[in-house]
Amino acid sequence: MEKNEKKEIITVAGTIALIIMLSTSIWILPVIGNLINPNGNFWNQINAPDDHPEYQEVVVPGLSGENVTVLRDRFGVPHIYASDYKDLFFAYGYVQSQDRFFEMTLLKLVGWGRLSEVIGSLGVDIDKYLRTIGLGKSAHELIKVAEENKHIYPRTYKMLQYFTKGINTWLDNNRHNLPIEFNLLDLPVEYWSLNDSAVMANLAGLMLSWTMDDLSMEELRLIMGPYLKENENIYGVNAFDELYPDWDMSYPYEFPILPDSHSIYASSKNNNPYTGIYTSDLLLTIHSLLNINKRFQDFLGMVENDCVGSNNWVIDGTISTTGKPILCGDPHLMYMTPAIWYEAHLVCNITGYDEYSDPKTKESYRFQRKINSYGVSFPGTPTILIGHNEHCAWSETNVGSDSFADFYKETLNADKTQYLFNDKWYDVDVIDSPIKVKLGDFYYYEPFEIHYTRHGPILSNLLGLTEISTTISELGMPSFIPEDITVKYIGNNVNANYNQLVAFDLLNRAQNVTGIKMALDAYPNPPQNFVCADDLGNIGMICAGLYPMRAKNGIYSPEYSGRYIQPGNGTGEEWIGFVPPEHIPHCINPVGQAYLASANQRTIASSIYGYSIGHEWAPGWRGRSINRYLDTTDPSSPFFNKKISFEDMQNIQYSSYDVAAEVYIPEIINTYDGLSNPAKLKKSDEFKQVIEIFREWSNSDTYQYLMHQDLIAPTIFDKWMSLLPGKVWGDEWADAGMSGNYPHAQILQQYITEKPNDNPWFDNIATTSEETKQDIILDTLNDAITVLSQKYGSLIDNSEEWIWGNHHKLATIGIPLIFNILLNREVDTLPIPGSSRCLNNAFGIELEMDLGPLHISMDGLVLGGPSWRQVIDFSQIENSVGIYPGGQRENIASKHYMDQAPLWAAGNYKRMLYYPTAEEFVQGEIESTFILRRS
Amino acid sequence: MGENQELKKIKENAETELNGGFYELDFLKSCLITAGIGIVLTLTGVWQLVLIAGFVGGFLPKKLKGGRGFLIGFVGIVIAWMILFGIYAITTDMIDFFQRILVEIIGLPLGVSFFALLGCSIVGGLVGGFGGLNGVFVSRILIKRELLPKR
Repeated sequence: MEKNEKKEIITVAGTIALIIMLSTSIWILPVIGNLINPNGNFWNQINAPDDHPEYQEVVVPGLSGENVTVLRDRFGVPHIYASDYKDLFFAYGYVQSQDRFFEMTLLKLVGWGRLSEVIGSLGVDIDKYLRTIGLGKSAHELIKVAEENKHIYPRTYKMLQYFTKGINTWLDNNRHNLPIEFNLLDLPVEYWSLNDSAVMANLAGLMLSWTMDDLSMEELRLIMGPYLKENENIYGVNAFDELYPDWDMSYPYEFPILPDSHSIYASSKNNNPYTGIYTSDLLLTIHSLLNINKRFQDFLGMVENDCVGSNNWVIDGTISTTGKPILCGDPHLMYMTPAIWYEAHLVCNITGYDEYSDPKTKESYRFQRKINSYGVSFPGTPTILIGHNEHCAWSETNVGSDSFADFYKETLNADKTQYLFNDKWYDVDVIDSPIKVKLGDFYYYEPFEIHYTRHGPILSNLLGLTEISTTISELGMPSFIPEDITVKYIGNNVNANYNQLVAFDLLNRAQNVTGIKMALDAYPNPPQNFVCADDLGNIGMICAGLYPMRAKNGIYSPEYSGRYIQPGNGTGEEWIGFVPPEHIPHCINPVGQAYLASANQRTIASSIYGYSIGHEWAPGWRGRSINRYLDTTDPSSPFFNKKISFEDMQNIQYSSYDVAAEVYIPEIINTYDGLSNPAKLKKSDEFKQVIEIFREWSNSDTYQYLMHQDLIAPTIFDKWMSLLPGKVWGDEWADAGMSGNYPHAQILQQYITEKPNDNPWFDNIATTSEETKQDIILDTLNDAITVLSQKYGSLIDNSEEWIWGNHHKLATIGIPLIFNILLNREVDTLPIPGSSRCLNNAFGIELEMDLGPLHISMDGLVLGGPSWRQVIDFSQIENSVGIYPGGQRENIASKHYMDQAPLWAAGNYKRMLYYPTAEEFVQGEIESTFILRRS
Repeated sequence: MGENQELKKIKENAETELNGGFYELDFLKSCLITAGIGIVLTLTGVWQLVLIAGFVGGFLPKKLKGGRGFLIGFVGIVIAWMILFGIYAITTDMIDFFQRILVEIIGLPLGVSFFALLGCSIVGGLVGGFGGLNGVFVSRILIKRELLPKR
């Protein structure tokens, strides 16, 4: 062959290779050719306006009523005015998609367990996990139930239908103008379905009510139980029960949410000690499942129960300066951009009422047909979840107890095709759920099956899978055969009468607190403490949700509280139903108290409530903090014998007062002052300085015990608090072979502040000397100083570095943060006050995680907390305020990407504009107008 | 004489091959023509067609050297795309997008927009360069077949 021809052939081959490489997707990377060429989608989308034009119209031939007007204010919050409720929700779907379609798509894929379609094999583990838990399956069932019940609640079903139509109409009109993330991540472009909204709701429910506490308790019982029994001469006969109070006991210093003092089913003590038959593999199975869960919780951004939670409270007219209730709410969730909440105002001025009657009491309630709701929704769902209408307001905190998921150890036959229940063998249901995984431009299907018994999915099947078992071997555990553990989770329980969508639809149309209570009778999951108030002056707290009731051998008892793993063969505690609506814990207009408040602490004292609804509750720091403010009859309250104003309520929400500091700082100072020779301490100079800092903090008029971003004391105290539990419990735990899951913070407080100096728990059994409480307190402080000095340099020379605000910064999970982490750069964000124990819940995270080839390391970032704050003024509801750490638009280049965040970080709010009609909207407050026209 | 004459003929053929280009444009003009065609082809929406622009560029010079052909295609497309990006930068808010995201939010230095666009153009230029390379070699093959006597 000629030389030239040879060269040409090689050149052609090279050219073809280059073009293929640039025109196809490699691994999970986007198609490079699409990004680089000037005429490509990418550049066209960049050129598309980032923000809404001043005026815009779209023709929607199918509108039922008159034109729909959407007015966006200067924060991009849409105010939608429609004459028919179907048009209203159609427009809401359209408007949400304009601002958040990428976010909706991504969250939907996560919920369905389809992340592998986007991030390839990196997502297979998490998809298997979520599919096993069953969010998608229960979404299908939820919609089926909604369809079957649509003749009972026709409006609710249509609401969802038209919302979905709105999204799909937007998609049809904007296929060539999708957010650039669709290009970059090669996301599937699909029509939205009713099931997608259901899966979004389920995903939100998972964040809040999913728990593996039963497994932790089982692990504790199997390891610490015998250990404490062996050592009962040291720690006492009832040591385990003292450290882990049962459902019918209370934690020290506890303020249950509900104060009412009428008994519902007085409890009876049943003295059957708890027994079961367990194998050694069970412990390893539990340990592995807990580790897998923790790993996925980190990935999904679901942090420990202590932190995800919320605050809410309301005061009635007798202690407010306005003479009317003032209601506050701030749900605590992960900070993301695009934000987890979408703010909107929905108005539909139609007349008339819908009447529903309570099937048991036959009382009927009227819900207005008119809609005038302002608040926040989860993107992809059509109802206002937290907010207010003209007459009422509401906000939720998570009940979050361990009662919402029970675990069963099943007895399966040799080939795992059948399970034993009440001496009969039943077939294991198998659902085939192959996972579509992206590889360049192609997809392959990874086979996957989910196995079900009557209780639920077999969770421990996950342990047999290759990638996950690698994690287990990384943990250094011996190999074992996993036990078959299933989970029964209320999120998978679909009850014909209970429907989340119906509850929120009615809630938005309630006219008073009684109506809210009735609306919430239909509310299933996740169980939430709804604080509410109305303009007649009523206040209420309704802890709505499905609370499982259990029976053994067919006999019900509150003793059967589902605390531990149950045998799955029918001899254990089985669910027989849920607490009926009339017995759901609730309180309206409490006697002897002018407020109601919740911060994820125990719902109600078991001495006045006979159902067992859980053992694990949030530490009471925030609950105690709120009670301290709102109990104006208490001399220690800053509002003792005073009235509380609207501004006061905002300041309380932003409060970074740490009750734990109030408890422990005097202990620390007194212990130090009690030393005969403090100079003999190791690091005595640093100690002296730290104690001085604490003393100043304790004596300050303006900063006392505030976790303020400009101070040094919070840094040291927070570190001390994080090390204290390990100091007290860690040595015994290590001796027993257990790690983590220490007793409740309130138990620890009781030991530190009330037990004698020489209590055996204070002794470090790893040393020959006998340590006392004094040693614990000072050793912890010594460790805190050591750790902090290693990170920030010496306190004496480098005190600037020790300032709390330098290591306590707001960070939202989104593209900028991910970029900075990948590039290993300092994240430059807003320093904020607070801690996980303050009302201004700001939990800093130290995270080390491996995601495929990437190593992610984060320190000093606050990734979660009040994701929305609202304060509702019933004397003038249009003066109510709200704010969140994000913005309405998901487009990074939009001015509404993060515009509310600086206000939020500084503790400021914006007015929630509440004009009843589009005509009354003040012109100067309108940033853009969008009309949906009939023709 | 026979062998020398043969060698001479081979040398002549080779020179004709290398210097017998169909056209006689210099480097700069070739690049500009390539750029012009590149702009038109990019605007069709199928950006891979810039290969053709490069290919044409390979035919243009008199001296048919592979390296030169590649350079003509490469530089031509880089110029084409930089012109297009320039037009977009002036007539739209594209640079604002970079400003917002890369500089303010992610925190990269100010000049990054220019280098990002240059980088895109360089990748496109590679395709054009390969086109040019193809153009040169095909041109040589054609010349050899058409203009030189059969051996």
